[in-house]
Amino acid sequence: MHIPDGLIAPQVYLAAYAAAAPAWAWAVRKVARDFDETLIPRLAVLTALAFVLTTVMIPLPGGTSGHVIGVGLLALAFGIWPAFLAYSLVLVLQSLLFGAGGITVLAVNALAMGLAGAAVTVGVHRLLVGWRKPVAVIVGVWCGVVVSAVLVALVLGIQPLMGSDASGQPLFFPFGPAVTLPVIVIPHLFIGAGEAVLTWMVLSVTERRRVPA
Amino acid sequence: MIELERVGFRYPEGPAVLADISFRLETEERVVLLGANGCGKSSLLKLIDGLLDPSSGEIRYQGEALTAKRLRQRDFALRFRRDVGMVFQSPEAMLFNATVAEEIAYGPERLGMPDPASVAKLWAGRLQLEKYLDTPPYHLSGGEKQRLALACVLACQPRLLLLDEPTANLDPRATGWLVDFLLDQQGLTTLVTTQNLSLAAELGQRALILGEDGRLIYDGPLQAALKDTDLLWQANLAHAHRHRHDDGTEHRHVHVHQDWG
Amino acid sequence: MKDRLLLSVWLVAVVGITFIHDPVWLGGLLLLAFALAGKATPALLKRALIAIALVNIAVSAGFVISASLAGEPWGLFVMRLNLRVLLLTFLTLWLARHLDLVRAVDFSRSLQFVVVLALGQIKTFQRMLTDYRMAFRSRSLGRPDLKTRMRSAGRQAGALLEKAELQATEVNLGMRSRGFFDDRA
Repeated sequence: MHIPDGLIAPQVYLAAYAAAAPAWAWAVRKVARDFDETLIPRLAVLTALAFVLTTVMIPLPGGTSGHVIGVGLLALAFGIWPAFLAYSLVLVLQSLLFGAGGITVLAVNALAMGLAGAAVTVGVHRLLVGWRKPVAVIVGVWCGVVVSAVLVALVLGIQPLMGSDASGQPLFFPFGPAVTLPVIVIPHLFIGAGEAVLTWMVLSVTERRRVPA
Repeated sequence: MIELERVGFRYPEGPAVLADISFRLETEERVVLLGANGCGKSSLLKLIDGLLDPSSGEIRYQGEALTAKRLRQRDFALRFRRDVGMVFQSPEAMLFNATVAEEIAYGPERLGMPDPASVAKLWAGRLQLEKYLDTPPYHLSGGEKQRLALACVLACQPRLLLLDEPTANLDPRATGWLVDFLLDQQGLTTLVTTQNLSLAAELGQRALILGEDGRLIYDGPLQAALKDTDLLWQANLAHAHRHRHDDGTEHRHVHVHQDWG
Repeated sequence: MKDRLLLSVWLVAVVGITFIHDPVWLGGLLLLAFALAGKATPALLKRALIAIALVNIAVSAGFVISASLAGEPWGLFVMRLNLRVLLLTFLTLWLARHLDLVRAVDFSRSLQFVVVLALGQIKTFQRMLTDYRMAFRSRSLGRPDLKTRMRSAGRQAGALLEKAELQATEVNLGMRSRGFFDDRA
């Protein structure tokens, strides 16, 4: 779901940064409190883990594969805020070190995938964990991936409203939600399923089925 | 300098790693800590370095109990960290500064030593790292990281040096260099862990041997230990395998291989 | 200081470019970017084109088709979109080549430590992942089925998680042994 720079209007991405800034500040406070003196090494290792996780390929039917997002696994293993912070740092590293992924859309990606994705995963997991743990993990991660995809699709889908030039042609991404939702969300129904199963496989083996506070 | 009295250690919810360990380290002693994989050598070094708390017993540093509470007192912590330096088996665990120069200067700077940058240059030169001064540590090879970690610790002028399998990442030439380098350091107490018995003979005069149950089964002259095949067998530091002779016959006996890995 | 300045200027440029909608201006800035990159231009341009090809071709083609069917113009949009995205991607790749991120974040020592440590740990994890992938290939007789590939991916992710736990502990101890946390007590 890497959106390149230039598709999203400044009104939208600057607003996203304005929304993300307090979220990051809160995340730093929360994580610093939870990790206490070990904040720096643990956050660094978590960031590295999040970064390399995105290079693990989930095999999909038909011989294809998709990249793991990893936020679900991180959120269930370490908590919403560490996952959000680590994923945000990953986006920074990807953008500034490797030129992969847009800097203007970083806040959108961080909020949609890093925060909403993590929160939905953990929230759904909490609702279902009393019933069946494997189902809680799988449904939680799947919901997290799909909700992230929906949010990204909606952000892209509102770009036609951000203005057009004198000839009526759009200034930014040209398609509305009627296009972006199916195009982005449908593939993520499958990617989410793959990631959900993979997350369950990992957590069941490493016995990290707790959901931190 | 350091005294362990009936020290035991276990990780949370884990089996006992070390049990009933008692010994003293005196100034300028060269001690080798031997033991098989998983017998607790690294854990013992971390206990001595105040990084882990014993589950039982006591560790004393210059007569004072070494506890987590004591180490939270800044003056004591500073003094202890200056006097005791540890090089980890995976040296990258210790490296966190932007460049090699900053990495080496970090300790001297914290200790308030004059001109940490020059100290860093000096030790970079001694450890053959001068051409990497502006390089990020994570760009170095395994052996270079090992030398860098050593430089970082030695730049603080410690009195006790703890080395955890220092030759694990080194090729034979680098191993030889390290042995010479350690022997050249004056006024230093060293405690080195290794599984390499022939190397051990070059690194110390006294041996501490941990058994596989995490107990100290030997504390004495190194040379005597290296000749005691029963002791080495007990500690899983010697093995037996079939020796094939040219005439087609075979035999087995307990032995150690006297060459460097 | 140089890296912080570079990062700041680049950020301002990127934001500024998203306010520019005239393809002539965008084209001119792109040529300026090529001049800035000098000999590195062909390599950077190739990388930028590869990075944006899929999305830009899909969006451009989709718009051309829908606009044509509706009898509406599409030329300006296609030029604007592609020039802007290419310009921004090119500049970001150029920055990645020249920016020392560790230096750029030295306004915060803590952040700098996190970045340095993360970069080092990324190499450790990548090496491990490469080994796992090679081992899987080496053990695969013929093309593995979906279930086997999934198990392998699961093991890769699981191994990374376990390694991260170990590394976090070890790095914490390594930093503690060098007195890092004493100053912060």
